[in-house]
Amino acid sequence: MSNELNEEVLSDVLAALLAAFVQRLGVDKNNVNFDDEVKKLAKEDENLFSRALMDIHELLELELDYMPLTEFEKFSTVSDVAEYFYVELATKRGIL
Amino acid sequence: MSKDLNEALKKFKELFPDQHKTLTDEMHALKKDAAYIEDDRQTIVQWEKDSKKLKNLTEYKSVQKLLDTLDERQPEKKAAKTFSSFTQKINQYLMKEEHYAQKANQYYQNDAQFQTDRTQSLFQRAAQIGSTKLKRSLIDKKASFDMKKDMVGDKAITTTEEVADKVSYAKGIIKETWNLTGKKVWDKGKELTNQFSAKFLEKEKQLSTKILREEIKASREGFVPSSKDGVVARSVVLATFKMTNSISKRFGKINEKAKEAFQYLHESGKNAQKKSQEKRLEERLARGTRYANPER
Repeated sequence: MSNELNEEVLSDVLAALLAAFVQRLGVDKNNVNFDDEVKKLAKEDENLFSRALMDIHELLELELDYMPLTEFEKFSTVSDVAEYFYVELATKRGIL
Repeated sequence: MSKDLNEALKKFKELFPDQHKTLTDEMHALKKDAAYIEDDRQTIVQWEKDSKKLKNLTEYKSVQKLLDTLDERQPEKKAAKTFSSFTQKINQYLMKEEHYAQKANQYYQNDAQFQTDRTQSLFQRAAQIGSTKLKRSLIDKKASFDMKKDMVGDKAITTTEEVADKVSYAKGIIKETWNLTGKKVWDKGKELTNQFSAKFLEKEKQLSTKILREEIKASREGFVPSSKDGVVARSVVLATFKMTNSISKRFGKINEKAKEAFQYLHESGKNAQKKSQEKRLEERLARGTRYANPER
């Protein structure tokens, strides 16, 4: 297990996260905080938020491991999303 | 047979020649029967010894006694009476014989019943043993299953714990080492080391374009990607992503093999073509030589 956060993985995750949030949720990329609540960012639209997360899955070539339209239960803040995709991608790349 | 009895029978023959013949025949028959009966008796005695099922042989003894009476002295005039009595006794004997036959049958039946009971008993015993074995086997299997289940359970717990550890570890790193709290995603991306910061900026742009392009394509097709149906349909695509990849890889391998095969065939064809050309050239040269020197 690596003791340090992998910069490459984090870079890919953050880039995909921002791209999806900006394009799907229509947010300003300069104003997305790690503490922001995803419900607010998605304006309570779970379909829209689900689609954004699917975009991230596709961009990072990851598989879904949860039921669609359960994203508001699974993720509370942007930080949760970043953590989730970091772990998934790092695991896929054999870093974790 | 005694001398007196012979004389009695002689007289009897004179007085009743026909009856004498009948009696003689019957006596012979009776002797034969007696021999058979003796055999049977021996058999029955043996049965008795063996199975202790036939205990009463008094009937047989009485018949034996009857036969013995023939040795006794009897007056000529009593011969006819004796004959009558003898016939009666023979009938009695025959009845007794029948009785014996019945006994024997009964014995056979008893024996058959005994065998049946024994077989049944054996069967029951076998069933009992089988049942016990089955029970033991089931108990063993259950114990083995329980053990395996526990092992799998332990492993599952360990795996789950390991995964949970990994996730919490990773989360811990993100939260504490990188301290994302209160930060902007964009800023954090730009804070990465030069190499990855540049990659982050480039990638964000590239991925945004990709999403946008797909969005435009979808809208042209009248498809709303963020609709509920769209989300579910897309999730199915994502869930089958790995399978598609796996199939593509397999087809990739097949294609490689096919390419190798085609390459081999192509080279073989080329070699054949080359040899054919060389042969034709040789022939042409040979013809040329012949034409140059027609006398050869």
